[in-house]
Amino acid sequence: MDYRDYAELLRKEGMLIEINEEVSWNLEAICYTAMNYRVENGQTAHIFNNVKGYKGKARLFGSFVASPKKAPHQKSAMIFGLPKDATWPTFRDEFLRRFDHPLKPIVVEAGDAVCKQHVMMGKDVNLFAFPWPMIHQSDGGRYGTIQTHIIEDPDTGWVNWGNYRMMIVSKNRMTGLVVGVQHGPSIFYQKYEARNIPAPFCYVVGGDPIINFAAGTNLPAGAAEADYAGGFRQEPMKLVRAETQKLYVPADAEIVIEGVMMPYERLDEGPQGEYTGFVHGRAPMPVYHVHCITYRDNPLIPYSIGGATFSDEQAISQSLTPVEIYRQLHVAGFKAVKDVRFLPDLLWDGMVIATDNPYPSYIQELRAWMECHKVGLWGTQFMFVDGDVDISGPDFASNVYQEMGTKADPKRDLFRSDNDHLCTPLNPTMDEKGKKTGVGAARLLWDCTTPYEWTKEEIVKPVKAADLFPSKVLDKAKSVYKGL
Amino acid sequence: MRNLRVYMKALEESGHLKAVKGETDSNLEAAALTAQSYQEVGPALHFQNVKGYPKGFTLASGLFTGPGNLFLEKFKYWSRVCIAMGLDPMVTYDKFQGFLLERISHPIYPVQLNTGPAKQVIHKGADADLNALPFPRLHEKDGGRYGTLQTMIAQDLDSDWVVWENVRTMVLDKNRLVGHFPSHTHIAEIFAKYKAAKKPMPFCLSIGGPPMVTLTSFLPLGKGVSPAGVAGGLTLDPIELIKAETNSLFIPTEAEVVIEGEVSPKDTAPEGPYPEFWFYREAQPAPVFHVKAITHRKDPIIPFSVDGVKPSDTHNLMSLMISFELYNRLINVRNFPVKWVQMPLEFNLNFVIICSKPYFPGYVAWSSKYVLSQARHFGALYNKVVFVDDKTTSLHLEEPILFMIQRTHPNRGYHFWDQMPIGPNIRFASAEQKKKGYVSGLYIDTTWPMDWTPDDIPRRCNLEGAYPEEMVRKVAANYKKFGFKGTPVIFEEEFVPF
Repeated sequence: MDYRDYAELLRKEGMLIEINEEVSWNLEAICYTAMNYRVENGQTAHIFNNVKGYKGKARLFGSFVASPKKAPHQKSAMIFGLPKDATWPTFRDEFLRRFDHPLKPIVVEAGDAVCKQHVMMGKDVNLFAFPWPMIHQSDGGRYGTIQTHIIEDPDTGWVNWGNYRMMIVSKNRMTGLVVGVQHGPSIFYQKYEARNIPAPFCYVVGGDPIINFAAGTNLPAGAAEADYAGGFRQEPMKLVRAETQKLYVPADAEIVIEGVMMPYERLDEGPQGEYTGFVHGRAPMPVYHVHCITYRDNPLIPYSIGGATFSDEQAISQSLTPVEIYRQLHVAGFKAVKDVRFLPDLLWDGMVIATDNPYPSYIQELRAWMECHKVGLWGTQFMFVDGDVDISGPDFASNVYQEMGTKADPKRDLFRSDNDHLCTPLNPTMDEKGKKTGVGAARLLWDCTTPYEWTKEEIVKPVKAADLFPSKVLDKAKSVYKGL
Repeated sequence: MRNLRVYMKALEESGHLKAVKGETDSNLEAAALTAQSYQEVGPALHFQNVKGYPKGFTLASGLFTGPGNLFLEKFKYWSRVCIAMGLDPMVTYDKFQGFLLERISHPIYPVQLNTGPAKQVIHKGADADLNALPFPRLHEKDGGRYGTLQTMIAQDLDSDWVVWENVRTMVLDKNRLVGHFPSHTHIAEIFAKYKAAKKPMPFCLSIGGPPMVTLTSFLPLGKGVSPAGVAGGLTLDPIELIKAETNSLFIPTEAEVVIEGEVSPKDTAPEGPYPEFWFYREAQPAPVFHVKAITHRKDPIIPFSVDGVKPSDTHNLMSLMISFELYNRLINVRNFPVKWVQMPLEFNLNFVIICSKPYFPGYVAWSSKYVLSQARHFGALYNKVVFVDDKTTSLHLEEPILFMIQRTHPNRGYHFWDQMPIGPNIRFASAEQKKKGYVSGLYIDTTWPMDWTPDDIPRRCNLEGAYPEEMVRKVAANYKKFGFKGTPVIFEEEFVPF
């Protein structure tokens, strides 16, 4: 499945519209998507066929994976080949099953690769041939947001695929945000830089949309995302050798940008509106020199809008990361964990864990594990709720807020860390000085679980509609209601 | 609006009410159907054919409920009350609270009539039979049939102060009810006087009164304030009252049903079990009401609320009226010109959100602590306060939640309070805390620190922050034309100048 097959699937399900009115890549098209996120959480995917100055040359693809807040995994499930009404546990379990069976990619000839329908080489390279959108009015430039960055570890040959944003600087240069602990552009690039050699990279837009999931998954070091993408698809990815690099890229990609990152070179990146809902400032970042661009006819360019409440990047993260944390928690021995979710709109900032409380100090062990996890780099607050609280169904967010209201005694159940956490430049809780220092952020746990030492008499269970009426009466009510 | 019927017609005309014509059992069926409508953000329901009762004896539910504020639904949780007040159902919440404040600041005192529809049918003494009215059985495990959306009328023992408060009652038998008076209510205070004097307390229960009478009975008024005057002010017309048959209290002439009688100072009976705040409250002894007369219209409509299911009419009205009274007190008692106050049902009424400009250093602490200090007056329902600045929309709960979690530093913005009374809606009090009688409290200051420079305060990049205002308006205007579904929403207060 490539982006075009996926768009066709959405169309069949009535979840895609095409817009032929002329819109500008400069904020206008994106503003429609932002409104779409707000009004219906991006349930209607949309393709702008007539982007001003680019008609017939390239298209913008909005809300391609954004889904209702009550079921943020809806389009993700469709990308995984599941029905669109697949429940969260179905999606989670299927994801975990496929996660255990990665498949190595296969390599095809350049002649069989649609991503090479058009080739721009050397002096002909022009990033402005594509409608990279201006996403927020305060942004430092036009951005590519949903794409896969490919780079190789110069020591081991391990190839990393990751989702990193890029800002267009000129017709053949880009720059991108690099945060300390991330694998691709940061750790690998630093290895190249230390040797004073250029770091080859490829930026891939499109291909199988499942690649966005593999690239967004928190994999162990040394694991190849290409294998996981194949595992998720249950069919090997088809790769083709890049034109100017020895890296391999998905053969059905929409656009492939090839080039090198030069050592000891920086350009200002940002500002860019981020998932926190706030604009993150400008800072010097590595520079990508583009040597070649290959692309399909009239390529589709997906994008996401940071900060616009519910977005495509949120839908991807809300489908992926909770499952990944759930898996890792079980590997780490926290078997009492029943489910993991993110609160809608908060991206990494509101992670919910439903867990039983099997022994004293369990909650604090879990908290310590969470606070030192990579996800804790971005996340500010965690909510732990009892294992029998339903955080798998469509009302998961309401159920968590109910627990925060009625199950958390502030002094007993809210746990704050010291100001000892890494502060990313994106963290809106810190002032400029704090962001520059890089430390001083804190974490907060809402422990809404039942204390271990409580007796049966102290435990009060909330009522559910199903407990209030006999099932026969409920069934009748449901059918009468439908007929009203 | 003059009475419940006018209001129900207005609801029907605006698509907020549907008639249920098929036969419905008042035993659980009507309640289950209501619960279904609550959960699907459906219409209010008018059950026109109640099994086993004469034609014309009907039930209604969902009249004062709404969809909560966590998702952008077709209407707001205050929309139906706006319709009852004759306002645009889509006004923003700050305007809604402003209208309420204006109207309660100008009471209109009642007029007395000698006749009215509430007296169309009169049953006195042995004729008065509670079983002749279709009080619904609301949940499977309930102790009996309940009256929920009703106004209890009683007079102070040693003054002419009359209170109208919402009290739920359970039918015991043909002429006895049992009702629970929460300890913070005026009714409880007045009843304590009668009890001490060993005198029965005369009462009237107005069921299905004019919508503003119902609203007033959820409004925690000050001591000595005339509820009839407040209800008149809210209606913009005097409430028409008529003397009861068996005691000297006055009842609304436009009520659907009125039950008159005396609350015994000594008789008690178990009331409940009942799912009060989303969990079951076991049966507890409560005062017995001896019924002396029942008067009603020829075709009475009994409105009800299915508590235990969100968002029930009762809890939606509690959310609206308690947060309004906090808003009123912040402005009129403390001179804190706040913009709005919300008490979301999503947090089971345990959080109060104050929206205001932080006018001066310490303002957030003062206003938040003032709200904490008032908790006992409202049944100690809340012990957590969130303060958001005046650039926060009232139309979407997501915004305060975002600010409370994403932009607030836990060690700077979270302030703890040692002792707070234990509310009936919480489940976190341990046996030890219950013995001591207190839990703890919290207020969350989500505003930017006063000592931050403009450079420290990051720019917002939501829809209003990220795009020029003209563009957002153009997009909203073209949205449907482009083939998108749904209605665009703009958060007016959140536009950021570029």
